[in-house]
Amino acid sequence: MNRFEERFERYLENEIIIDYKTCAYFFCMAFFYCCYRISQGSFQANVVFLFEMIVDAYVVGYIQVYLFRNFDEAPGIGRREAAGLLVCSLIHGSAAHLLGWFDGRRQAAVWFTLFMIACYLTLYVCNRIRRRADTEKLNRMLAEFKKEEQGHGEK
Amino acid sequence: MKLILSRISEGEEEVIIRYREMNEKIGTIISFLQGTGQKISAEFEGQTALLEPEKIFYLESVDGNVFAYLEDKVCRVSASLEKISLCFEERGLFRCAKSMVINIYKIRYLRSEPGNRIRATMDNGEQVMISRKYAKRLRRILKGGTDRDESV
Repeated sequence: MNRFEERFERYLENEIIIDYKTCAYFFCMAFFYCCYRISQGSFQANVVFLFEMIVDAYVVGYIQVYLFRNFDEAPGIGRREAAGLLVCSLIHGSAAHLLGWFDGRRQAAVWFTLFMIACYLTLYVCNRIRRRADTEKLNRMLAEFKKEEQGHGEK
Repeated sequence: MKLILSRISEGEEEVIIRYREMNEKIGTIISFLQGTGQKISAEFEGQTALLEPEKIFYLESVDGNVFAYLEDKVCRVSASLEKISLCFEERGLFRCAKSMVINIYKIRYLRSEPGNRIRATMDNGEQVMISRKYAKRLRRILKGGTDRDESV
């Protein structure tokens, strides 16, 4: 595999990660938006706003992966990860306010920013739990592999 | 020991060993035929040594030279990492990076890392990071498949 293919493969891997994040965070944003609309007594959502949320989640996904080392999958939260979490949440909050997702209400945008911080932290915790379970599974498989091969050798 | 060689034009090639009692000589022939007796030629302190793959913790390529790391010594190996990982895959040698081959049987602990990577802690305490691409292969091998399954 040459250098171009390797770079392209790495780009594709990152692109898949970003797409996955876009889906996860768009779902969070849409959930908050729907709750807001229902709290305002409306059962209708603006399709343009939903489209803007997808674009916002996609752009922030790029920032998260390329600038902040994919902080929601980091082994721990250090300064850089915390900065990434705050910057990305503030971008979501600013986009919500500037694009008028919550009828220009600043308080709703602030709550939305806090909600996104909670979402990032939740996903971070979920990723940690997933990795812990994966570690256990890997070591179980390793032990079984060693045991099996030992058994073959004894025959 | 009588040796009978018979050339065949078709059908599967086979080796039949008739023995009264299993001894070291017969055992060596069997392990040679099974490929389990094959060793890796290496250089240590100016002398040629034959290394048992089972004794190697990992092999690393540095500036075009391949080095085998054993418990108490480091030897220079003439074969390439690709060749070693292909020939000794059945005996636990696994290509875990472009410049490294590790012995699965010498892994003490595996840890799942962000980005689907795996950190392997070897029996001698060394830590090796296995990238996403190779981590996928390692999972397949541990599940019971082989490295070659993927390349087919």
